[in-house]
This record gives sequence, structure tokens and C-alpha cells, in this order.
Amino acid sequence: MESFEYLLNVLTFTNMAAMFAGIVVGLIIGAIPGLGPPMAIALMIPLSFEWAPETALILMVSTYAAGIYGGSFTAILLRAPGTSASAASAIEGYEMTKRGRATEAIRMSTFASVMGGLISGFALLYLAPPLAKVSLLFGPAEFFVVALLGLTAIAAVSFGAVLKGLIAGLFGLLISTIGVDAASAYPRFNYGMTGLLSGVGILPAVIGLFAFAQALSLCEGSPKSNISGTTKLSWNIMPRWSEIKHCRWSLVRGWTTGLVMGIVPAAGASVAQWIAYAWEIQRGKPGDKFGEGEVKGLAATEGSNNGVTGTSLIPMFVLGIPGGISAAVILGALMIHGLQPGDRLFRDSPDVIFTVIWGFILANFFMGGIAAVMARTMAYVTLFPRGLLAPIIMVFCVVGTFAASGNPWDVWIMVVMGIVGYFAHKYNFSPAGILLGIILGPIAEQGLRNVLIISSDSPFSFILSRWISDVIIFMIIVAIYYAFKPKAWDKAVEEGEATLAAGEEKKGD
Amino acid sequence: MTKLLAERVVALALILVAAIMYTQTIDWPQRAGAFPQFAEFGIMILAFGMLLRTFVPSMSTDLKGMVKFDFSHFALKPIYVMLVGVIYAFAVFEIGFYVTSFVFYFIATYLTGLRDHKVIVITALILFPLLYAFFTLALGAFLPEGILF
Repeated sequence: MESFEYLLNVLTFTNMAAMFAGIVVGLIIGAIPGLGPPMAIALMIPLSFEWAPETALILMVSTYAAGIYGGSFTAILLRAPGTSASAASAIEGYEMTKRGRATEAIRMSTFASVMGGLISGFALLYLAPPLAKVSLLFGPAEFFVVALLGLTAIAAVSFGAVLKGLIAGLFGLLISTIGVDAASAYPRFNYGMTGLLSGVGILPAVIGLFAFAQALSLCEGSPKSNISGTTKLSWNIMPRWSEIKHCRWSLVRGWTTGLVMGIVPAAGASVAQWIAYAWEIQRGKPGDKFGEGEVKGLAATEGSNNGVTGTSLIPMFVLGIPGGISAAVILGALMIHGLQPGDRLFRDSPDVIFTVIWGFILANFFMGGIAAVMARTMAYVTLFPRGLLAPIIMVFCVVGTFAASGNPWDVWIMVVMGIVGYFAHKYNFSPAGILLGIILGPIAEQGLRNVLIISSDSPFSFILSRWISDVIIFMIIVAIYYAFKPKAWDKAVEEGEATLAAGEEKKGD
Repeated sequence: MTKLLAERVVALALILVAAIMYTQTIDWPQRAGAFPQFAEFGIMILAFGMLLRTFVPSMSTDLKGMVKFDFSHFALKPIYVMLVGVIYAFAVFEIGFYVTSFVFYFIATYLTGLRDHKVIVITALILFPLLYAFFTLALGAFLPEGILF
């Protein structure tokens, strides 16, 4: 195919150096809670003013891909996701770390992310124009039902406490309404505090609900013990065929979810990971231990959050509609270098755009090796005593939250969300559900409002008249059914416990 | 207190809070309250479901036994650190990030019960210069300054 010739353009010293710089910076900054890919990309822009457009853009897209994966390091090792895209990975990944399986988690997460990024990159290369047309089909009705689909994931990730999980999700929806209402400009639930007028941001919520809450949890128990309960870590960071085979369908589901959700503007990685995770739980088999370090759960979430990266650039490159904050920053970089997004980009500047896309693909490839070594080195933090780790995580929470926005209120909100997350986790109210509600609330509300306006207050008939909405509604019904249906893996655990209890009763007799 | 009673109390508290919040949204103009009301109704319905569940023995098998309240120092450590963390989050903007974080680090470490002074001091001597080098020098991030650094 003719785009292959542009692969050679990437293999110059300057382009490769830009790629490696982007990977390293993206991994480091992505790992720190609060900083994340958008900040990392924004930092790269001034450095690249004098560079050739393709070199500058290779730097940006490499930083983006690596930043998304970098957030998974701290999610898996410390339950402190560096980005909102890695929050779901914190659930199974951290449970694996607690059981001394940190290196296994890193292996699987690296493989899933690298392959997800590669597949997404090839989708970007060969399917950009047709997939862009699909993204145009998403209107207010579709956004609203996609948000509802994301909300059904709450039931799946509540691990048996479905009612409490759904309450947590609705509580998150309520939190998302704090601030000035976009339609009427009316202040909601701010109780006279001007700092709350801008609402509760996703970043303070993620950092608070997971990282800060986790730091508080680390204060329980012996301060000298470490997270993993082991004294040394294995250096075996190469993915094993047996592990890949065990998780093959989980990986496929994760990648598919990421590819599809990537083309939905505004949904992106934050939603994709939860849908992938919920799907995985629903497909669980006897013997799977979701919520206790199930590697398939991690494979699905990691596959989806990097599977999103390539396809999320499609609406941006082809239509000029950024799919998320990172894509918006890259769009800015594109325009700074004199390129206009759209069909003409592919027609008039194929040497630039295809070189950048190949750069993105190669960045995912090389990211694997660099990321695995960095993650394995970072895994040493799991050997730190808990009493030392907890205050360090709290300091990073404060600095990360403030560095991202410069707003003291975000720091205070983060602390409050941390306290909420700590008690929610303790009493089975799913912090993940709260976070999902906060993320999906604005999307759902905006979609619902627009549907009400367009349909002149007949939302149901309007939503049902659109075929994409019908498909998504069907998926919602299936998801709700499976959420309440006893899981094959859950049933096996219950049967095992019943057998154990019966055995103990017999002994007593 | 039994777990069953605790679950009922929590369910009733959720219904009450959601109802109070609902009353606040009634007069909001231009449907500003529509979405919050949707969430509040949902919480009330689900909390009612939680309450009903406690009256069906087959559905509340996980609520057997008593709630254990542990007020020992060991159990209250996270609460102490939480309170100090709240003070830290406010003090950072009055005193300054680096000085407050340095003091907070030692207080919080002490509250967790860790007494390995060598490790604590060495970690502080490495961590804070690294924080300064990375955030202030490398990233040029503006961190809070108050009466001190």
C-alpha cells in the first residue's frame, strides 16, 4: 500500500529522537497523579516550534500514547491512577500487587496496552475516513444513551453490592451537577461558596477517590509492612505465552471496546475502560476472581484504554473535532504548524500525516520495552513500608492536583473526595461507581437536554427513531440483565463457600 | 448494633438526605433541577430497596452479626492522618507548599506508627529536593507559596 513509503520517513534520527523523548516524558508525567497526557503534550509544544511539522507531531502523539499507559503504573502499583483513563486498572491491578503479583500485572498491562495502541494505530492509518463518518452519526441521542451504557457498568463493577454500587453512581451524578448549570447559568449546590461554581473536576475526583483514599487505607495495619507482602520482585517482564493465551478473549474485548469508543467524541478512554471491565465481568467463568486480582480484568481495561488512543485521533484529524483534552491539545499543535485538519490534510499533506501516523504506531511498539523497564523499576515502591508510602502519596496528590489547575479549591475538593472514597470503599459503596457518575453526569445531562430540545419534549420517540441509539439501548438491556444475573464465577465462589461451611458443620457434629 | 439495623439506619439516612436535596431543587429555573432530581429520585428508590432487603431473610444473609466498633489507637490511625491531611491541605496555601509538606510528612509518618527514623529522614532528604527539581525547576510549575516557601 502507498502509505508504507511514509514509514521510512519516520526512521530518521530527528524523528526517532522526538519519538523516544515523547515516550519517556509521557511515561513519567503520565504516572504522576494529576499531571497526565494533556499537560505532558502541552509542555512539548513550545519545544517544537522550530521543528518540522512531522517531527513535532510525532513528539506529541508519542507523548499522548505513552502518557495514557504511564497512568497505569501508579494505578497498578499503588492504586493511585495517574490519569482518569487508568482508574479501572487500579481495581484488579492493585489487588494483584497486594498478592505479590506486581510483575505479572506489569507484563500483562504492557502487552495489552502496546497491542491496543498498535491495533488502534492501524485503524487510524487505514480506516480514518470511514470511521470519521461513523463518528458524525453520533448526535445528542447517541451521547445520552452512551452515557447510560457507561452507567450500567456501575452495576457490573459493584461486585455483588449492586444496590450500593448504583447508589454510589447516582451520588456521583449528583456531584457532577455541582456548579453553574450550562443551560440556565444557575448555580447549583454551591451553598454560597464561589470556589464550587466551577464544579467538581474529574481530576480532583480521580485523585481523591483513588489515590488519597488509598493513602488513608495504607495507614491501617502495620506501618512497617509493605503493599505486596514480599521482599523481592521478579525481573521477568517479558509477556508469557501462557498468560496471553489465558487472557486472549479479554484482550480482544478490551481492544474492541477501545477502538469503538475512541471514535465517539467526548466519551474516550475514561468511559471505554469501564465498559470493557463490565463486559469482562459479565463474561467471567467459574474460577475467575474479579475484585481480587483477576488478570483478565486488567487485560481488558488496559487493552481498552490504549485501544482508544489511535481512533480518538480520527475525529480530530479528519473532522477537526477533538475527542478529548489530549486530542484538543494535539489539534492546537497541528494548527500551530500550519496544518488544517480535515480531508485536505490527507490529500494535500499526505507526507506529513501518514508519517505522523506511522510515528504513532512505532511509538506504541517501542513504548513496550521502555515502559516495562520503567514500570519494573517503579515497582520497588511496593517494597516501601506503608507508613512511609502513605504521606508520600498524599503529598503527590496535593502537588499533582494543584499543578494541573492552579486552583486551591481543587485541592480541597480532592481531599473531601478522598475522605468520601475512603469511607465508601470501607462500606461497599464503590468509589469507582462515584467516579463513573461524575464522569458521565455532564455527558448524560447535556445529551438529555439536547434531546429534549430537538425532540420538542418527546425524547423517547426521538431516541428510539435512531438506529445507533437502538443498538446501544439493546446493549444496555443486556448489560442490566447480566448485572443482576448471578455470575458463573460468583456462583462458583458461593458454592465453594457453601461446601466449606457444610464440611465444617459435619466436623462439629 | 446489629448489621441489619445499621443497614436500615444507612438506608433511611440516604432517603432523608436525598429528600432534603430534592426540596432544594424544586424552585430552580429553566429545568436546572431536572437532572439532580433524577439522581435524587434514583437514590431514594434504591435506598428504599436497601431497606426492603433487610426485611427479607433470604436476601440479607450477608447482614448477620454485629457491627464492630473499634476505637483503639490502631484502628483510628487513618482518622488521625485524615484530620492532619485536611489541616495540611489548608496550611499549604497559608504557609507554603515545601515547608508545610516537609512538616506534614514527618507528622503523618509518626501518626502511622512508623519509628524507623533513619529511613524516614533519608527518604525526606531525597524526596523533597527531587520534588523541587522536578516540579519547580523542570516543569516550571507554580506551587503555593505563603508566608514561607
